[in-house]
Amino acid sequence: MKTSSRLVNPVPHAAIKIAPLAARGATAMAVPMAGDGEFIFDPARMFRAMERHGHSAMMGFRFVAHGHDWVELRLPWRADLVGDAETGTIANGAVTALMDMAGGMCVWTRLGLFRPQATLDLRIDYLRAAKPGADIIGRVECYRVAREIAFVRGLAHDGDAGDAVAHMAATFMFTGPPMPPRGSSANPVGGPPGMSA
Amino acid sequence: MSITLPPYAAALGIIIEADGAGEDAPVLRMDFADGLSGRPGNLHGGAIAGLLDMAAWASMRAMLDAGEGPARFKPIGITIDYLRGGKHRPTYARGRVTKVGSRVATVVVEAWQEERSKPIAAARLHFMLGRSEAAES
Repeated sequence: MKTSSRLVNPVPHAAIKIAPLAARGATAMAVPMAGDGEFIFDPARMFRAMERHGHSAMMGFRFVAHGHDWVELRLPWRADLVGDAETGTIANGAVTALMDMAGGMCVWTRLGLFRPQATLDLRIDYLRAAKPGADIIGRVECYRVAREIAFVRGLAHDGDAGDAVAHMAATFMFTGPPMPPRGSSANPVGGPPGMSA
Repeated sequence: MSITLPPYAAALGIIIEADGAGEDAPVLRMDFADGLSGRPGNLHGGAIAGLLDMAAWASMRAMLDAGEGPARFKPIGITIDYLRGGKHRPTYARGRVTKVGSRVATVVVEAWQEERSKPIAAARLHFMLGRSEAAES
């Protein structure tokens, strides 16, 4: 079954329980290629390159897990990410950044390849305040890819996915054609320019 | 009048460029740094979101500090439109409180770089004022 062969962590959304990072990371990073050698975009591998640069490095985003159309990232609590010095909760803007990042990655994950894109619009509903000192986990799924636009939705929580702190919906607009597959003659190294692991 | 921005503002390098005068909200400034970069040549959308959120917060803080409403507020939601790619240069943002009701305030905010008339992003936010069950839970 083609679809299931792409599932690295084929667990229904609602059934996900937050497990220690090490336990999940090992599973999530294990399958860069499908059995027939077909190139499959691997968000875990790409993130290992991205997390060392730019905004991801500055924010300290961590990869948690992915399925064929979703990506889960973690924003570890840090004193300088606090949005309210009195309560010690992570800033709303930082949660938004996490969701934007996970949103973009889940589009590539669903596509199975990298394609340049930019966020077009992004909406966040803040359901409740995050717990003081808590990490934020952001999980975003891409539920539709049209010719020019990809549609995503997600939630952020601080330990219990059934008790979200925020819901998110966003669209991404493609800004160029898909990049050649990793390992092809046009791209023997793999990944988009500047993102090679 | 002077407001103190939350810690996250410093993490993004956001400062108050102009305190605002009269009814104007503060203008915030975020200089480019490598830690704010996204796709090659562009600011990360998350960093822009952080600036928009902070400018909206500052406009509410400034208004309420001026004694025109309750001292407490918390965001209900934000809707961001990304209009142009942000380049590797300073970005500015200013919020405007467009409505203050008894329970909810509405803020619109824009971020721009070289030209104020060419915003790179805009957002609309709602804030719950004072204490309310919907936002407390």
